[in-house]
Amino acid sequence: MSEVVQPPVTTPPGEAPHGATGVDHASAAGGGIGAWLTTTDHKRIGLMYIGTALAFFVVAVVFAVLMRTQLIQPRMDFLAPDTYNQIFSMHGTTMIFLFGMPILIGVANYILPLQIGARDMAFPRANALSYWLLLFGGLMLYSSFLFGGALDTGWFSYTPLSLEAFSPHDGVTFWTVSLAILGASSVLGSINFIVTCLRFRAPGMSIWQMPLFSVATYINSYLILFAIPSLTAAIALLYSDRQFGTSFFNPAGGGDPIIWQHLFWFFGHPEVYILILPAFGVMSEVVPVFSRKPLFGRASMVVMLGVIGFLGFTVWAHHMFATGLPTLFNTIMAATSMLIAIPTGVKIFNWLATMWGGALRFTTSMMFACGLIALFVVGGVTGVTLAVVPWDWQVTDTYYVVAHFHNTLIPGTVFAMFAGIYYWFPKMTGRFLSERIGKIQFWLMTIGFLLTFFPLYVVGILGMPRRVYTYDANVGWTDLNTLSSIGGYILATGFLLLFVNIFVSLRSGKVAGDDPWRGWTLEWATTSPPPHDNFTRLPEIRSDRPLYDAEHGWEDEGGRVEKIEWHSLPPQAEQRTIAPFWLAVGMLVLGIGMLGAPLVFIVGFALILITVAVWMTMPWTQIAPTPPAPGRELRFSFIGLGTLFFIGSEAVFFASLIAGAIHLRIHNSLFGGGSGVGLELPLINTVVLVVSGVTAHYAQTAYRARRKGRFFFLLVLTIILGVVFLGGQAWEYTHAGFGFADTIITSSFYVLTGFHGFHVACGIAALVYLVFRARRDLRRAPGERRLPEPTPGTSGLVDGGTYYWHFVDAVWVVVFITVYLL
Amino acid sequence: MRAATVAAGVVAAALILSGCESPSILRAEGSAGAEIVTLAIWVFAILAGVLVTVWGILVFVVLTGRRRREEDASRSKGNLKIEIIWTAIPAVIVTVLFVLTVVTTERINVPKQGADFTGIGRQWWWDFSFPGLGFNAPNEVYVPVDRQVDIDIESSDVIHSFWVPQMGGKVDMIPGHVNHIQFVPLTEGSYLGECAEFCGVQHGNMRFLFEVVSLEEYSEWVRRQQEPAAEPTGDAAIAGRQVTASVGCGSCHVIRGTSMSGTFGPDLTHFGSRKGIAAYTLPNTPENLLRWIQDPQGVKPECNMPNVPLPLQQQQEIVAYLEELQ
Repeated sequence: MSEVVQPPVTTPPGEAPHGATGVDHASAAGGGIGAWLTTTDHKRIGLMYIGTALAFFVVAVVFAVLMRTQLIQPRMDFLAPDTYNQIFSMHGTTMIFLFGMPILIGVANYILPLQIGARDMAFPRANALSYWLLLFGGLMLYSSFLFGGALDTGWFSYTPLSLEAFSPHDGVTFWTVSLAILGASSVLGSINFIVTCLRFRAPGMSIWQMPLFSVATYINSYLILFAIPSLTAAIALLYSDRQFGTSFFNPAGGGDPIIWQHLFWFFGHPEVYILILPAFGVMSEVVPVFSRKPLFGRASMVVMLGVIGFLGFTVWAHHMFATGLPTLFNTIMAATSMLIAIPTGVKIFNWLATMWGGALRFTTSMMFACGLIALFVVGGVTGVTLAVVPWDWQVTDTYYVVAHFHNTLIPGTVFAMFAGIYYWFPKMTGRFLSERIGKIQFWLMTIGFLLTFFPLYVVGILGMPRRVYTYDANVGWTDLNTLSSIGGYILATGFLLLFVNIFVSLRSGKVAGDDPWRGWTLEWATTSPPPHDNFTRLPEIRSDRPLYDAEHGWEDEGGRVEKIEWHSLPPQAEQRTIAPFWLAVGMLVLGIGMLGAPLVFIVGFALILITVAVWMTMPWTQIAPTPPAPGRELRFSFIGLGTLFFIGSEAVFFASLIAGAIHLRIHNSLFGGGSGVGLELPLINTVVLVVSGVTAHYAQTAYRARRKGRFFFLLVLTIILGVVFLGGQAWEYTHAGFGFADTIITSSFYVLTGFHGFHVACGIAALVYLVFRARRDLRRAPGERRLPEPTPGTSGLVDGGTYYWHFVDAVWVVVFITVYLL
Repeated sequence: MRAATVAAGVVAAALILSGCESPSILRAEGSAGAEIVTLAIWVFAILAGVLVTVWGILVFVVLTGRRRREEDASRSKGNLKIEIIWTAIPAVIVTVLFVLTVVTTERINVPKQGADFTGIGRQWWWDFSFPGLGFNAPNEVYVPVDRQVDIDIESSDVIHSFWVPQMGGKVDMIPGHVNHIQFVPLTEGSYLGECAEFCGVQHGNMRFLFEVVSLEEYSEWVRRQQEPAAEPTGDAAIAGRQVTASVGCGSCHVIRGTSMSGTFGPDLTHFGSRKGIAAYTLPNTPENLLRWIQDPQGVKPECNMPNVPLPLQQQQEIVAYLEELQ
């Protein structure tokens, strides 16, 4: 994008030139590949996300075209059955993990900090890490095509089909490891979004005043944070079954395949809302701007996003109505699933009400928004029918379901993303996308969608199961399938025109200027594209439409119109580092090692350690959080806050594992009983860990009080207690009378205590780091007898380290009860 | 509401017409399926009303808003009263749908009377086991009309799903679990059953026939199934029995009354009486059977039946033998 002509940065009147400081606002747009590898600029990272997502999108669209070609006539020999199965599995996995999430996260990465007036994300380096993990996770997943075959068990890979006995090639193993990497990327990204929204908003902007797309991304981040760990727990157990011969999902060994479904869908259902909430956010930006009206019912729009997000965690078993769950459980899940129709309906009505009485401008973006309203309701309505349990018993796992979720994802997520791309492309590049190609695209996509998926609803009702690689001529499905395939080609053409448009418009698109749509949110208050530090100036913020206020003045209750002032901002240098890239490489190497190459695993582990060590020597705070409003005390530093959210995510991970373990106990009518070495050692260990929690707490207090000796003493004592605990556990492992894969009880013993032990080890590493860090801070202030004044950086680290240690403590208590007492 | 019901009926009729040869769930011939069709008509009628409302408002808004000048645009930011109304309306609709759901679920969940037989999913075929009557009937099962049929549902390998679209509802076959389905078949006929949960490479070729017959025919079927295999009569068939036993078919298949006693593959004792081959991948004709025996991996790639190279004459003898196993 380096050929894009950049409009000059407009310096507001009265502002001093920046030359004197040696740092300026101008975009540090070097075109070299090094600039991309080392960047921590959220806009570049956002562009990389979007580019990667679109590349995977093309692949997944090609897969869809191949599938529709195989199904265009009965008994086609176009694809071999196993090839077909790999293609549909990878189509789903790609669309969800490598297109849907990354494109939403990518656009949010670019737009969210601009919308809330932040200079960058809260953790710019972690942001870069999120991206590189996504890229390498995706490449690793795809490399499985070269090593014996890709995933062929569907995107939800039900056990026991995905166990080694029934899927012997490594496709599923590649998938588990890649998804773990992608999950880490998503969780890291979601923490980053949450902390950015909480602590880096422009001064004066309340959290309620964040633009709707930012609100949606903010709420969505909680969904990612609490949904992904359930998947991580599930794939950890699946990996263990495949690589170590345990039997968590194998009924022959006392396991239960249904656990997979619970854990997977506890992730999987929130996941579909993860794919739709940001789309709703885009809608709520585009519709008001192109109706030239404020968003109707803004407060309820925000609340309903939250309600949908919350309900999303309470409906997972509606994917399992046919598995023989108790009727009462099915009925509850039917009720919660139907409830989701209410907030969704309210959102549709509010968009319509926003358009009501407005001066509509049918840009491509607005056309996609209207198309979404018209077609998404069909998907919503058929979604309600799937909550009608008896109807679900008939149509689940048929093409009716395929039609339903494509009906929510294409005129939902994809239409909204196209609306967003057409809306924000001028901001990202300085040029418009061609409206003419855009409108052709819109109609091709709409007609293509209708032709592809409406016949599939019917063919599902006519009894065609999903995921069949072919069908017979005598069951009456042929014509509808042919129609659907033709529609698929039209739809694919519509999708791919986007690339033509991008290519053409980057070269010769109309120059857009700073605020081409006359939007009201802060991303339009800077240049297109923005400088690397985003803003040279920001207006005072009074409402959710700061640029409207800036233009018209702020009208107070008495009707007095007040002029809005602009404040200029000091420039900020971009900090570049290659560390996130190498850390992600380390994770990739580690992941490759997990496919069965211990040496590679060790190399990856070493690479991670080295990179983390280098990373740790860097200054922690790259950009300062927004100071709290006068008179407000902040309870947590922003790093401590980030740690707390991470802990929340980890808690779901352990909760998932423990729920699985307890389910297996009940399923097998068995008791735990620990390792068989008696209760004494684990009890002593429990006391040791609890005491270490107390010492950690007082170490934190001592740090805040700047008491040097006490701080170091207590911190080192905590570390020693942690090491003692791990030593005890190591002794227990070596003296336990059983191996990992012996029985279901021994496997859950090792998994629960092992994952906990790993977390203790990480906690110790963090505390050791704190010791060195504090010593270095002291060396930098020779003669100082007290610890340095708490700063957002280092004191946040101490907070984070101790919170994490308390978490490890608390988890142990639950693990102890589950493993030894229950 | 009546108009909506009629509209839904028209849509349903259109669907039925377009699928006169298909196992359409709207052409229900089982008690559960019929309940579900009635439920669906109500649900779709109500939801069609929602769709028409939203589309109507959208069209109105687009038509009136497209020429409006910005100065004339409304400045409204919301209206609490109207927002409460359009939160309440979906809530009422959802409540109605929920009540319909609960009522129909209760009507379908009739008390079970103990299993008539067990349906067992296998990669990639069906075993119907009648332990009380002493036989297994793979891929084709008979039930008497107008009597409640109770089926235990199991799996011996991965998850499958038992589904006869025209009878109603599907139940997953999960290893380590015993599920259950019961309904009353209402009309005699031959109905297609399908695996509805993705179960591996040949998920697409895992079908069975669900034969609803009169009580007399059912009794006759049971009596025949209980008998051991018929003695071959033709020369080719007699030779075929020798070949079948000597080339190792018995390591996977059982033919009761002969030395063949494998349990991994389908029971072939009454193979000749069945309408399909390889879980209804092909209709059962001598030509198709020959094709299947010559090249199972070509007909149904990666299925568990291996290609066994034999001279053509021996293959034809096997076909002759199996087709005599009525």
